[in-house]
Amino acid sequence: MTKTRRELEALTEALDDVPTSEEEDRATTAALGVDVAKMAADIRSKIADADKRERERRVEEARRAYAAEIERLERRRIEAKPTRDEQLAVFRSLIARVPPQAVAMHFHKYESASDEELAELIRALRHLLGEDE
Amino acid sequence: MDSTEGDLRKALREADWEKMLPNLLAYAARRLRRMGWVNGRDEEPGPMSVEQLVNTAIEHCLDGTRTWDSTSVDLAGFLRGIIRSLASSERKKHVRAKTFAKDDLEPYVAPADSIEDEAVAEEGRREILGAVEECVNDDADLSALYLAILDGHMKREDIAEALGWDVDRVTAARIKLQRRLVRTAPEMFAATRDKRRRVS
Repeated sequence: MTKTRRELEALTEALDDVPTSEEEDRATTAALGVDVAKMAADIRSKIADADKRERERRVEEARRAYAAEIERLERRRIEAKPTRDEQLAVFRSLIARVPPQAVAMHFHKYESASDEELAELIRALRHLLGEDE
Repeated sequence: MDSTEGDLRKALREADWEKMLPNLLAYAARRLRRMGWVNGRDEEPGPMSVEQLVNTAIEHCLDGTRTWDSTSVDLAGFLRGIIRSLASSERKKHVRAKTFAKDDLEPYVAPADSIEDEAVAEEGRREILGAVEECVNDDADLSALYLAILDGHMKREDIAEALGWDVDRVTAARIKLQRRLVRTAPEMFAATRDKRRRVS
């Protein structure tokens, strides 16, 4: 680096943060021909756009988190298959609330039904009672 | 958006842009022009205009690429810091673009100007330094300040220590030097070279 270059770099840096008056700044801006009011409006518009994008991003983030939570709960519900005893208990509590004349014969053979058939019977009883999920 | 980004966004939202912009634009104009001094040429260091430079600085705040520590610098000072950094990058890009056909050549390598180019640049730099010397010759404080700067003291506190002054005296002398340069040789030292130049 030449001496003159080094000296001018030093001068540039030393004068970099020299305070200027509002009058000097306004004169420079006028010489530049910048429409400050328009530029300020454009900047505010950019900030508003960025705020809007940020809000949309947050809403989308919340929506995704909610969907993920629903999926997680649903998966847990599916994975948490009730035991046969639990299914039988549910079945008995439901059938006890149904009027006897409304219960078809095959409901009474529940003890010999398979797990899947028992689940189907529970769904049918819930439907009968108007308690569908 | 973390709390730092949130603070910055809030400050940008609440800023009095009509009041702050003239200062930022004037700073950007001075910075761009002074980058040319070092090259010994009165030309812009890159294709980015003063207005673009300020707008880009604000965009960098909005897209989160810059973080602000509000306890160490106010918003205007923070934006001036970004403008300063962008102006330096522009200069490097400009020099590189002039030197290499490919603009993706990394890392940055200082260009080797031709002997003729360097001679012209050296002449330009001497001319600028000569003009500064003429401005300070008849003022003891300005002469002392100028010599301290040429000795490599660039920060206000360093200059004060080197000259045995208090920092307010340094500030006053720097303001006086800057104003005198603009008044004495506006064609060389004003923030803007021509009226209505390089506005996007």
